[in-house]
Amino acid sequence: MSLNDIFNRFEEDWRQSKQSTSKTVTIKIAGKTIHLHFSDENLSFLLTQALSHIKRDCLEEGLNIYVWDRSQTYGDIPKLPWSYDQFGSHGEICSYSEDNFCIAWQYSSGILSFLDKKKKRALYWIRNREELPIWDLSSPFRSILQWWFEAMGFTMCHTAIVSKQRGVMLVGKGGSGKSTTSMACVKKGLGFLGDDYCLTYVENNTVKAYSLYNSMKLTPKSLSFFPDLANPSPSFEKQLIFLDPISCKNQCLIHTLFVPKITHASKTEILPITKREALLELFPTSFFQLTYRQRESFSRMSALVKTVNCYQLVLGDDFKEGVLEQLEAYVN
Amino acid sequence: MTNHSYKLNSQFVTYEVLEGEAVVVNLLSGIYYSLDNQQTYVWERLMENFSLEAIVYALSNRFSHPFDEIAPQVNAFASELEKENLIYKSSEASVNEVKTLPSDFAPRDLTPIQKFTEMKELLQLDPIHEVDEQGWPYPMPLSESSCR
Repeated sequence: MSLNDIFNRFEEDWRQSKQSTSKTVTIKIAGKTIHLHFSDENLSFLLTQALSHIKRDCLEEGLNIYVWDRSQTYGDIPKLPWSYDQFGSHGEICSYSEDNFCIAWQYSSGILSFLDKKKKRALYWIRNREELPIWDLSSPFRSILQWWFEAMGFTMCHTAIVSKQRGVMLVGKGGSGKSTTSMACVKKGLGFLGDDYCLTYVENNTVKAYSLYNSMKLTPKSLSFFPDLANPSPSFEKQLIFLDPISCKNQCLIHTLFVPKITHASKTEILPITKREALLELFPTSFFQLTYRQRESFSRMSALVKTVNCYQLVLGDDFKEGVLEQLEAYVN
Repeated sequence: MTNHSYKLNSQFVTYEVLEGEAVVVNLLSGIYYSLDNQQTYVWERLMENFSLEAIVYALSNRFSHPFDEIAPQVNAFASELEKENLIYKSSEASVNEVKTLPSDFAPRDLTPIQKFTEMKELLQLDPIHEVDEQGWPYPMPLSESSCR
């Protein structure tokens, strides 16, 4: 059976699963239109919380993503025709040679992502919506968006971005202080583009960044700095927050990249780092979280680092006030 | 020191040079490497197909360091790159002289190479068999690994 046939069978199952409350939500990212077709309203609410800031009323042609779960599955869901050894490290199907298609089966989340680039359509099938983990609620459709935008020259980076007239990227491994820093900036009035994933585009010595999600995941320790946000959610070790669209910006130019580092210094300060050090902080978690990792993504991340100014942001005990004092010049 | 050169294992290795320092990535294993200025200088000459002998000769002439002092350091560096499967030996060395020279090159050990393996550990988790019960990076039990 060809991939096209398999896709068609899944799509037919989506059509059969549509409820009376089925809903289409349209979003726009980097000027590109994406229509999300949900089997029911409840699923639409669950998976568009992180996208509320980029919803648009728009009938333009674009990518169509069909979304449903097993509870709505009408008949027998088509079996995947691949054995376990054909799945890559992130569940992507490696062995098919049909370039138009990208497919990944995420075991832990129970999500099948299936993109047909040529016909601009995609499937997002969920085994059980009640069991969706925090990272899929905070970054829904991530694989599909990565594949779709990468084909157009964008790169999905693991970064937080805040902005005023200009944006700054905050990069580093988990626990480096990205989320805490970006929340401190948002509290001081900076616009929020993302806490985990953003799209970037490098062209003519310019880096443009585009928001994907309005979500932020804060650890209990980070939350302790922002007691007004604390709303303990016993299911997750991090608390998931969806920022009001009014706090969000959809795009910005990036001139500077910061690598946060949490210290017990009394004052927050900015120190120089080399471009190599900056790339070593940006690319591992960005690149190795991608499915179908392409060397072009690594080259694009390198081009991004070469284009912007790079610094270390040493977070001291005064960071809630000190961060914006230090970043002021870089966002104006 | 023999006169062979090296080639990049380009099928699964890629690299970028930023301000004279390189980041080299093994796309399959997830291991990545950080090279300082001197290591990057030798790396780039290897990528240009120069033999180890030609590289050492150029450095020795330019900076008046004894050939026998630099040769073992460059040799050890190339051997470590080869051991890491980043490069492999080739008999096709460039016949040209090395013209690109660094502003400075002090004889010192060029090994060990700074190596990062945390992504390798993440990629090598077998999502079905090797991780605990909760899903990837916690696995699904084998019998439930289909879509049904």
